[in-house]
Amino acid sequence: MLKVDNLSKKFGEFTAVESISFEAKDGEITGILGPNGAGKTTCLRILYGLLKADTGVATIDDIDVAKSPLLARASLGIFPDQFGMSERLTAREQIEYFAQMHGLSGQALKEALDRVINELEMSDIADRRTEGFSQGQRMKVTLAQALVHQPKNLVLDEPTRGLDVMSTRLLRKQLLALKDKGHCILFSSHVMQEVAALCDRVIVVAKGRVVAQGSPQELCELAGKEYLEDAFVAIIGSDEGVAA
Amino acid sequence: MSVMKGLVVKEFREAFRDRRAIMAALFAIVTGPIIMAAVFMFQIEQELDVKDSYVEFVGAQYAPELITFLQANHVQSRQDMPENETEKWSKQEISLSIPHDYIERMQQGKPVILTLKADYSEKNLRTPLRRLESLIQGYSAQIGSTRLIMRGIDPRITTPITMDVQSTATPASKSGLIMGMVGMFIIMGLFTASMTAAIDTSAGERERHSLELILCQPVSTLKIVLSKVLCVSFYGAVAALLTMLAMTLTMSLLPLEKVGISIVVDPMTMVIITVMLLPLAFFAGIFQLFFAYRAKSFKEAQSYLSMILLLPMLVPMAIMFVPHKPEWLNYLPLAGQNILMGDLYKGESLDWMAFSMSGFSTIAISILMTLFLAKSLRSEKVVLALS
Repeated sequence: MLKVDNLSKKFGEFTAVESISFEAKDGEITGILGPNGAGKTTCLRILYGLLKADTGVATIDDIDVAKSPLLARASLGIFPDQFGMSERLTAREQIEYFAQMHGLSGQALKEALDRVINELEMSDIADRRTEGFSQGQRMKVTLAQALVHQPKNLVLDEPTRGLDVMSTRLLRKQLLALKDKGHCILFSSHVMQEVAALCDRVIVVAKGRVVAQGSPQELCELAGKEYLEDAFVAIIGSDEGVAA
Repeated sequence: MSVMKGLVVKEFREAFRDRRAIMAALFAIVTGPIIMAAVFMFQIEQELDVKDSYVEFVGAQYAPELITFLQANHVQSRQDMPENETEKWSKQEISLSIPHDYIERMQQGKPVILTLKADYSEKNLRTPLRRLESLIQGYSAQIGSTRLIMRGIDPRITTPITMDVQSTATPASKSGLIMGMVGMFIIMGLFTASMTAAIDTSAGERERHSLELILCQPVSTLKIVLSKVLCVSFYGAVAALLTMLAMTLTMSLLPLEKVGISIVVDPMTMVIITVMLLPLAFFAGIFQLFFAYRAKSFKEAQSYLSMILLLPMLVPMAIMFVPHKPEWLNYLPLAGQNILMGDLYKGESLDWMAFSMSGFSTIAISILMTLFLAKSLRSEKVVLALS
């Protein structure tokens, strides 16, 4: 379970995030929807423990991130917005590196690697160096390193950006399977179809504030629109009334 | 512990598959000994054989005995110049004019004036001119003494004071300046070899968008920094040791004793130098990582570190020119090791105080920088510079 309560963050005079509160429950996929510069990345970085909030608390499974970041991160898997590859390592070595940072070793490490490589259908690329990998292959490596330690909570930052249909479907399948197993999934996106198809709850963020939250259906009703995209535009365009 | 092992293994895998870093290290190892060998070879050749110099004798027929004397002492007439020397001497003209009344004036005991004409600012003529002058002076003194003896006077009367010069320079100490260079080359090798590896694992990792995700893992930044320092330092240490071995081998092959330089490198000396280089490798590693992490890209880091690369050159150079070195200079990182290495190569006994103090100061500064770098990787400034 991921929870942020009354988060605020200023960079000098600029307010990036203002009193944001939301919760991502276990067994649900929660989407953060917001235009560029809405404060999504800042919010996630506070959740990872990279930035310190001016006010409020972020917790991962009830552990305060600001107080014990290393402990809190242990049950967190992160799928970042850029697929950073160490090009001189093979896919397996790179996943192994992240698994080891989560304390896996020996037989458990080997089993975890084999499991995640099988699940993501990447045994054909596992022992190749990641140099020259396609975007889809990079996505698989990145997802594998986020999932190798079977984290209770998974955060994805714009995961489908730049992916083809096949890769997107694979990712979607994985997320739904994790949800069924009771994992907590939080993901930020711009892509409405993605959010509408996957998310149980959507949190709409604009100008550093939460302007609406609820199921995709509820948001459409709230804005009086048929499609989520129209609802989104209506909500962030006229925050009067909706935010209340 | 297994976390640390995982981190270190990853660093070594990356660093030792990095062709660019390995090439840089090899380059660093090879250049030092080659430059050194070239310098020595040139010097030995210069010092060993007295080369013939060629002088235009004007009026040689007036003083055949003087000419014979000069020719016996490697001063030849230009007419006898062999073909292969023509080019070298065509721009370096020396002419010695002998007046037509040479014999006459000699016989009358009157002074004779010889005229030596040459470009005195020409560096290459300095040695032949000095030799020619002293030859003629010697010749003149010899004639003078003979004249006094013939008149029944002890010729020593003209030299009331004679200087007895006793040089305390030993073949070993003569090599001081050059041995300082050996130390400098080894330290340079250490820095250049670890430079590319240091940049790749810091600024390079940032450029590949891997750094942020690594900082989000449940691992302390101290462990991350330590794994990187360990790998980069290992690179530098191996390169420095290989440079040292290559240097020692090169110098043992050169006929240095012929120029009066002796180098004593026994296995014990090499062990001591190795022990001295290890803290220095740590220092070079953390120092370069520290600044490379300040850069956003590989290129930016390269321009920072190439400035840092001047340190191991400038520090020893500065030391060479400090006339009376204060004691504490021996205790500083880089300076201390350089002085000690020079002393050891000269065959002097090890200054244990300087050895332990410089090692201690090097390690202390390196540990401080490691802690500071680990702390700075937790700061918001670094995180915000990521995107």
